[in-house]
Amino acid sequence: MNTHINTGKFGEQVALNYLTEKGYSVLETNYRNKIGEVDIIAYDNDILAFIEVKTRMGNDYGYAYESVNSRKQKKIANTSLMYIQKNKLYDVQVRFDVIEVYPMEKVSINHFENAFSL
Amino acid sequence: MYSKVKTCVLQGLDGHIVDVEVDLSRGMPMFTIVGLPDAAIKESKERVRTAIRNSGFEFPLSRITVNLAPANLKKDGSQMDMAIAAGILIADGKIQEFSTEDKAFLGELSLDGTVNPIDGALPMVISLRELGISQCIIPYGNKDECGIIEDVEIIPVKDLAELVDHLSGESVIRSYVSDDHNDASVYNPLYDFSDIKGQEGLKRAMEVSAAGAHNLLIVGPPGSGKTMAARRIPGILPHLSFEESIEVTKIYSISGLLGKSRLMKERPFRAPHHSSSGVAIIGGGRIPKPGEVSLAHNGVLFFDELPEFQKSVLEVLRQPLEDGFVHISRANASLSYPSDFMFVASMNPCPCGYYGDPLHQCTCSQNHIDRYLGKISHPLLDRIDLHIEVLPVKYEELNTDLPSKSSDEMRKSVSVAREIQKERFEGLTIYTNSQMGNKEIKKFCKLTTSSEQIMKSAFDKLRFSGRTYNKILKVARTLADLNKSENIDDKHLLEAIQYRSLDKKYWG
Repeated sequence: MNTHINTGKFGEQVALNYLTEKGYSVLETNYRNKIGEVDIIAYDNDILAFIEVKTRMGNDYGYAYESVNSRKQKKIANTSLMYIQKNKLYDVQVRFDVIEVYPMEKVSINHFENAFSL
Repeated sequence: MYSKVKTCVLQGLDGHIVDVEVDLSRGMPMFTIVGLPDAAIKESKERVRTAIRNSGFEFPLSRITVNLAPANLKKDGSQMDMAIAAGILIADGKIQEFSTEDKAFLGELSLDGTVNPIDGALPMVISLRELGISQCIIPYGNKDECGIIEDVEIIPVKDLAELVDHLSGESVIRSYVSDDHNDASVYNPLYDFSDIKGQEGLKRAMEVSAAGAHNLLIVGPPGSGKTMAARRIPGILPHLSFEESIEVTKIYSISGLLGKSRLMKERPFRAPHHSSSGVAIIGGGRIPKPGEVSLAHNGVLFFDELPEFQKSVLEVLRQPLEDGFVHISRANASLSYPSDFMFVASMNPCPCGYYGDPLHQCTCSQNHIDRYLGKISHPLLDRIDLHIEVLPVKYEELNTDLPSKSSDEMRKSVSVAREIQKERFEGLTIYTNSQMGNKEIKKFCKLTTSSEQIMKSAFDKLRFSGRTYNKILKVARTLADLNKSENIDDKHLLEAIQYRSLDKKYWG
């Protein structure tokens, strides 16, 4: 039941493990406010990274990162702006990342640092 | 996290310094350019970002604001890429400890970090020198045209990495100086007046017109050598002086027509096709670009088959012929370009071409002929100093082995006449007889009493206009100069009048 949700959950878990292993300190997962949702918010040293995780079972419908289109980018940016305001993080350098996860025979991860900017 | 470097924008031939301020601050990653940039500059964002990355540097992750000051001046052109990239690298701390105060950066970046050549590099460098800049960093491809400018350091760079090494003092690039400024022009030996058999009258008129930079109209049947002779005019004109060739090179530089050459050494010869539009001739566009009249500056503008041009195109020539410059106004800019050229035109006397030809029968009706000639208005004819009619070549002339006057000989007598004029106008802003104003005509074109008699009767009989009267005096002055004679004699005046009697024959 609800396999696509499970797929997503699994991917986010994989990404989370990957990030902690890389030394990121995770602040929030599945952060949600009235504008939208950001999958992971984490500090990479002193840079605040807003990370969108995309999981795909195959390439039949294109690569995962392609689905983060400009509309989605705007949504993530606005959500994170609100997060920044709420937590008063005005003097922090921000970055937007995309992580794609392919959980097939072997789980593979692609991390795009600074995947887009405003 | 702030930096300021200088670059240049052109308005016509004049350059203005633009300060490129770059500020890096923390926050959302963003890259904005403000200060009235046009499309080419807005696009430079992507070029700069990729070029910095592909040159092995990190593009700073921060909020980047670029300001182009003064903010009220509209900026266009791709030459700002290098200044923006340099500003970002300096603000990011990749380049340290050097002064940008007296340096200007010009150059377009390609995605791999190479610096591409730009249009208008020479006029920019010249303006920057006048504005007190002592070092210009320019694209490698523009080094030959810019290297002729002395007392400014010209630093040619091939790519962004080289620029960074130069600025941080790791491997300093030496200032480039072109070695060949003032050597002689190379004439095209393919076009020599000795190829033209017979037609001595035509060659004489060309010599006179070249000697005084007078405008020339050639009327004659097809195949009589009009075009052939006109193509050979550049070969008898004197060399461009250094100042003149800089003026010409500036115009060609902003038009992007300079190609590989450094200085334009040959006098330009422009022969636009008769389908050309008024804008192509005068110049224009959203930001006006020089047209044919400016590209022919200090050279020759040749209109073959004059009546085939659109009438409106011919009439736009009136003002540049008179003033020596064109002022073009558009919504976005209002610019002046120099257009001091020698106008040479050729035409047939009627649509079929044989009106007045002793060997052929003209098949045109009078109506046809009138309409054809009517395309050339009197105001335009008035501005052409010399009118000459050529007749078909005779077989005996074509087949002769007798040497005819060569370009070399003609150039020698032209140079002598030009030398005399240069001496005469020493201290004035004019160089040739055709540029004389009323004051100069009064001073230098005095007639003897007998000449005055001739002038008076010719004036009454041929009903000259005031302008024609002045033109005749100027041409007579040139004829006297060709003769190395101090005063204008009767024969000079008579020859000059004879060059103005043709319009009565055809235009009545």
